[in-house]
Amino acid sequence: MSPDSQSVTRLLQQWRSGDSCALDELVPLVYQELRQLAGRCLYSERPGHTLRATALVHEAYLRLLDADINWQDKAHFYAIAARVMRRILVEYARAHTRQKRGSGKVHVPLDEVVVVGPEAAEIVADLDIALQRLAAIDPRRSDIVQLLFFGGLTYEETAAALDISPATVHRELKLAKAWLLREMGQPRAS
Amino acid sequence: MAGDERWRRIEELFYAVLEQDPQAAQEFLQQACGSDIDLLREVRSLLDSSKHSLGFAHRAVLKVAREQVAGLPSAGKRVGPYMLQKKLGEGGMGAVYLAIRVDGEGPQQVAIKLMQPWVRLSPRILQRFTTERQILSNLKHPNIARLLDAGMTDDDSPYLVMEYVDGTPIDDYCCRAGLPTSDRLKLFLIVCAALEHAHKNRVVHRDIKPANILVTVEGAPKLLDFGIAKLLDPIVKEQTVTRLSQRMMTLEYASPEQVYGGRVTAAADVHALGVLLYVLLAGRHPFQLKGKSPLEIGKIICEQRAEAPSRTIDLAAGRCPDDASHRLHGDLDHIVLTAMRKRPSRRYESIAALSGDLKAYVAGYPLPTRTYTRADRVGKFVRRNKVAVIAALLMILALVGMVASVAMRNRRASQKVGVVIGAAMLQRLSR
Repeated sequence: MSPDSQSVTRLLQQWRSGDSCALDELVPLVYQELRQLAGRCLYSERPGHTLRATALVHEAYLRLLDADINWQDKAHFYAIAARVMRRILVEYARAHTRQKRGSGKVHVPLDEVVVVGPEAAEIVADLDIALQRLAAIDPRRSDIVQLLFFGGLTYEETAAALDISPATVHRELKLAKAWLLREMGQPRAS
Repeated sequence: MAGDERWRRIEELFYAVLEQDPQAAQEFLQQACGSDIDLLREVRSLLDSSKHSLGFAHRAVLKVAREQVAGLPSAGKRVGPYMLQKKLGEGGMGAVYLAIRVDGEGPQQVAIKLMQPWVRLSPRILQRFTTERQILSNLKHPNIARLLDAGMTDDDSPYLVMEYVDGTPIDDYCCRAGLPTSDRLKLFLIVCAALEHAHKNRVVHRDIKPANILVTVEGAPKLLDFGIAKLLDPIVKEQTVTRLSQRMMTLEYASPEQVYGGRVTAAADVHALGVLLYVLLAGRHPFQLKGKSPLEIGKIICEQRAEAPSRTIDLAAGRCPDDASHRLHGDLDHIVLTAMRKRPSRRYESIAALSGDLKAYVAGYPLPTRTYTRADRVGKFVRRNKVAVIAALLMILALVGMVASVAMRNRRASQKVGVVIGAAMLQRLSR
């Protein structure tokens, strides 16, 4: 049975009104949707199709929520989805860096087509820590980066989710990026 | 807050400098910071980094995302001494695989339950997994899929190894095999016995539905998936698990108390068995739920009274037994509807009571839980003792016949006598 928009909407409202348990129920729903969408994208045979993995959050939103949901709930959903995605990815990245740093145990993947290089995994783990620090001094800038990077939203979607203008997103992002880069250590060539 | 204020100042200067031409910017910044060297350093370092791109980090996120969405391992991967062969089913929490044991010990084919990678982030769901393991290790019954082994994968995810059941969901099995009512009841009674065993071990299944009761080629039903089962003892912190389970269960077979989040006891399984029996006998679900949202379904389950299965038999769909129309009536209606009552306390108090009624029905006795009219009781007695009753009736008939024929003969004899006497009198008169 696929979760329906009404229950997701209801859970969002419960969560907003302070019911922390609602989040525990939301996360699996959102996760399942993300996974299903991801699976379909991976196996779609459209030529030239590139997977915008984290843009799935947006599609999950379209599928999971009522059309006439108010913007606060919409913003909350994006926030949760981006957060779920971030948790998923960071945990995954950490597990991989652990493996690499582990007691010399060699991990031989049998069937994984793509293998995350330790570098990407480490960058994601570092980014997560930097974002946590940014959230402590400037939560909105941290949210913007989370929505863009982990939520896969466009600037316009991010702006709508936070109820600010796209121009503000651009502007705020400048300092956020500079701060994160500095926090993550030496700026890397890119 | 001082920190907040400082951040605002940094922000202000950062943007102010960006908007000026580089020459003027340096001078402006130095002036603005005055003697606050730290502030100057801070803004400068931020301006330096702003010349570089954070694109590499975004790309790293995408790369990890692409890897991650591949998610659970596909066939061919090894988990402990097992080789995954194919995915049997997948949900938000985990997936079940068919696997073979490669070290030659234990049964060849097994089912392995793995968790979705993200589940490790949730202590509550991890707790669920541990509970399932704990529950299963205590349940040993021929009609419950056994727990064979448990362990940890290479990346620290717990997994369960279960008996692999190659079977068909019980409702489909009954249809395909074209089972008559009596055989469906027999099968159902075996399911009852298995679940009763679980209840005796203080385990409530909470997700009884056809997909969790597979019937093997040999015709043996097996109960699976204690994924949201509950120990009746408060070993698990109740409240959170129940709320979580509420989202995980299948509404179609849920009891009202599961829907509205009330106290879930063994009575929930009795309810689900009632719905299952309904489906097996009438060939359809007691309520019209197609196309309805979970919210609407929940409302129906809590409020709408189910019609007696005998009145809703769906012959056209071909999923009910062929003899449904003459087998389904009073007693079976009573059993199904009693098991499905909205208030837990008004249902059968145990599975034993439910199967007790069913067994009485099969044997033709009055149901222990039902009140009958005298005529019904007589009817039951007659049906149950057909041979004896017929023999008795025949004997009575024979006796009546004998008496009658004797009487008739006597009458005929007396008539004869009368005729003779009459004739003699006539003769005498005519002289």
